[in-house]
Amino acid sequence: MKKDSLSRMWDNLRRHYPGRYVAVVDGRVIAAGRDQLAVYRKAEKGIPLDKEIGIFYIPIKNARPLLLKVR
Amino acid sequence: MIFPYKKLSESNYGPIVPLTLQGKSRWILFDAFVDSGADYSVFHSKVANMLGLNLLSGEKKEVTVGDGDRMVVYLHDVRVNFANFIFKAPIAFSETLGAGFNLLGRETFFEKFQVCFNDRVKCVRVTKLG
Repeated sequence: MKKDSLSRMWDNLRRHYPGRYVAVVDGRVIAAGRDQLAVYRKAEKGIPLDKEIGIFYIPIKNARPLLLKVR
Repeated sequence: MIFPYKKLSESNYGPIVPLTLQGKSRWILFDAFVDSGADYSVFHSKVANMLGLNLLSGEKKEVTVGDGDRMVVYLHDVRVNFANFIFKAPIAFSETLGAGFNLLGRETFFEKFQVCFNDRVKCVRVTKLG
């Protein structure tokens, strides 16, 4: 999957899957849900091993600003 | 390589970049929030599961997060494909990462790449260092 195709999909994903994880193959959402491992397990069925699966978190619509720091 | 920021809300954009991690059976594409304040890249332990890693076999470390709380992580060396370069990087996996996003921290990534944030045009430029 081309990395820039996800950028183009982003607004659409934000509209339809806020607060969820999505699995994307060849630019298509093939699974979605709140548990990323379950989403991946559902997505990997029937997908050849040489085919890349993308797992992405889609933030909620009014996501609060992040303050991140890990030391 | 230039990565446009991703829209997080109507007025908020973030430096979220794609990277691929090699699992036991396949490469999996994720995205991660570039966090220059983080020593380590941190992914949820469920990602370790996807990759076929035994979480507890990694090096156990306790890290401090932004609010002062401590978080237990397990460090694993994982082959990554980032900005079209493949290399091994330590990835910290945590059962309690609650941000939703994975975090891309400085360890190894900021040694191999110059990472420049440009909030005016909302993009992050990643340049491989020699």
